[in-house]
Amino acid sequence: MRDHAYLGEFELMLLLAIVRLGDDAYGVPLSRELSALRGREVPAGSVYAALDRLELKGLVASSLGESTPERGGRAKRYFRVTDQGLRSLRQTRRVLSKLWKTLPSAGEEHA
Amino acid sequence: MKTARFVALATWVLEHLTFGSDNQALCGDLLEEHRRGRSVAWFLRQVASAIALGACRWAGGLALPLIYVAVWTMLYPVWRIGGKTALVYATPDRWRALAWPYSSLMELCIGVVPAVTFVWLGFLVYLLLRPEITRELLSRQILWSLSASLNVLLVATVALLNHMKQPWVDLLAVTRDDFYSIFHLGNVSVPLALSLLAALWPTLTQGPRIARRKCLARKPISGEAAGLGRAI
Repeated sequence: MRDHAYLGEFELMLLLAIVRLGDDAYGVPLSRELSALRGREVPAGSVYAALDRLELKGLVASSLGESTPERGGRAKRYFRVTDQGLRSLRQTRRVLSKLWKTLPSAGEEHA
Repeated sequence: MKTARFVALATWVLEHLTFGSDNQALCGDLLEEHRRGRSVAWFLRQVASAIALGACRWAGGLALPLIYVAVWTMLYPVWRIGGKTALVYATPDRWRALAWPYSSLMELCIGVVPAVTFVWLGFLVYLLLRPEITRELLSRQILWSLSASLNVLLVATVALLNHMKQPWVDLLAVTRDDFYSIFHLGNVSVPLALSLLAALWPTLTQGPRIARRKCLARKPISGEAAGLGRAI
């Protein structure tokens, strides 16, 4: 894994949502969180596709949790951000912060 | 009742039409949302979108093996001129002078063996180029690959000879030189490519699962990542 592989917008939001949800980060709350952040519905399939990609990159790890009757006996898959994922998040924040500083403020823009 | 049947059918389809992914957790999530009040239309939309995404990812993963198959098949004339000649002329003379039907069988073997070895060599090179797949393949899967490629090659060769019978090949007097002649390279590429694709098939369907198993086997995450709320 290259250290300078920056995160895409959706991946970044997903990682931050996992961090925010903590121990409750599985498909349903993650989809809801992302839908709320983006202001439109995010298909659960695309959330899992992105999570699989992040898992292959070693940025998140998953483990199977409990299964409930309302899930038809299927186990929940919980996600956590790995150390590598954490490093990647910090690096992306550093780069984005630098870029944001170059954006002119509202007053300068109209001058 | 009809609604429940729709949901059960969609769930079954999602669980079985996986394209190498594990959709169990996704199914559970969708059922959980449905039981909490989401409509059947929403459920069906989610299932359709998940299947379409899975199919796209799977098709994307096919590109590299398909390019490899095409490139390897294009190398066939080199093999035909060099490797095939060596294989054919290494055959002892007494084997060639056998009585019928053994003589015909021998012609068939001498004709097909260079193509089989070419395809198997292609499979071997692919495994060497993709060690992450090779490490996870079981020996029975490799044997299955070799066997499947041989069967596909034989069936496709018979079909090809039948297709080429007029005016190029006389089926009653097929000789070793009629098999996979480079003068009909476009035609002979088809059985070779199909055969190599059959050999690679287990690696195509195993890919995502292998990657997932590798992820699950990774070491547990350290305390730093466990306390993320404070760290970011």
